[in-house]
Amino acid sequence: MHKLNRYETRVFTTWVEGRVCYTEVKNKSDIEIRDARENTEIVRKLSTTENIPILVDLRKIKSISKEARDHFSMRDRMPGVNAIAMLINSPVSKIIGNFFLGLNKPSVPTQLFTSKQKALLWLKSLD
Amino acid sequence: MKKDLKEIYQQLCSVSGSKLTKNVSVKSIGAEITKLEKQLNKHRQIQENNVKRINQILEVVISLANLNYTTKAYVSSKNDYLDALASGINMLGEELQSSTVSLHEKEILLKEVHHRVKNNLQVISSLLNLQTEYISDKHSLEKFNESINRIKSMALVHEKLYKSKDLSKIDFKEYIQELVLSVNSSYNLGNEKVKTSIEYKLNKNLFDLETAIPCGLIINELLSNCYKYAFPQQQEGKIEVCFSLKRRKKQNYYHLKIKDNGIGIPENFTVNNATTLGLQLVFLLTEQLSGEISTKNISGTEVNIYFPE
Repeated sequence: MHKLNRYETRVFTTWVEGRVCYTEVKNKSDIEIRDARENTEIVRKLSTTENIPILVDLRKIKSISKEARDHFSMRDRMPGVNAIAMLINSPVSKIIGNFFLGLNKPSVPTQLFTSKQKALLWLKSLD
Repeated sequence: MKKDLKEIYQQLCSVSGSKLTKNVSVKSIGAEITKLEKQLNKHRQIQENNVKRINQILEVVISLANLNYTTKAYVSSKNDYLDALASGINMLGEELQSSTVSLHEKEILLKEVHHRVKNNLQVISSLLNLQTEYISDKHSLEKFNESINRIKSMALVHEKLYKSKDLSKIDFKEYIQELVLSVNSSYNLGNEKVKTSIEYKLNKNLFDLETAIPCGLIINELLSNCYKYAFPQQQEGKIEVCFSLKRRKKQNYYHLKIKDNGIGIPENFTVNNATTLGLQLVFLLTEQLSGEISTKNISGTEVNIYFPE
């Protein structure tokens, strides 16, 4: 499928497809606050005027800093997205994903999935 | 002999995962043994490495238990369960550190608030005290001094609070002792004709603000009344302040008793019908504690207040 406006950063690949924003964490990435902020800017650019749902693929993540987790929890800022589905299946991604369900809970609906299809179905059901 | 060799060879191959070959020789068995040795060494190395990683994670857990957040568990790029465990421990440590820091900040802030409240109350009390210099009317002067004592009793609670370890509770035993001393010094004016004793019969010393402030104000009012009315014409006397726990109506109640051996109160006197501000305050504060108040007139005045534990 054609992926329009694909943005590559140090740790993320981000694009929008069919009114869903996709963000993939690159292999063995350590996500820092600057990466998180950069990602937010890109998602804002891609979503243009309205908030859209986002699918975050955490499966290849290695680590994420406390500041970056706090940034993604969106407690002190406008969310820019209206729902988050996180793809997990590796042991590390499972742990990090669960932090986003509890301690670093984002201010918009958030769910963890091991299947990309189910994640997309859930995101679209919220639209 | 050949049959035995074949069996050994087959067993070795099943363990090492090698494919069986038709020609079994001492050489092929030797090769399998070497292969198995290599595999075994590799497993040993992995196992040793995993033990090291587990020990390192345990060390981080121990550091966290000691509230030391500087050590972090090593996260390799294997993305295995030990990496997940290490990541989890590292993130929990970060969250714990952040909440401990914010808790500490809140504690400092709360201490500061209590300190400022106490200072402000002290300023008000000092201003009133200064004002008394310009009051010649005895009755007005008395009212001013009563108000000063009420403010002092509340300031003392806040002073106790910012000095206490637990910022929401004060040592009530210490508080009563200091409060009694303060009221005593404002009425006795050095001649010490009226002696006050305190009996604190509770194992529990820490009380929160909701109990300490009304209780302190009640003690202040009742004690002031004793000094003002129980011993006219510089009469000598005794006042007892007693705080204990009593079982009543299948429930535990705190019992505050203030008793003097003075001239007593008029017959048919009840606190709820009292017209003075002090006793009206006592009645309202007892209600605030969901308590009951009663008076006795035996060799002086005894006021008993019961409120639920």
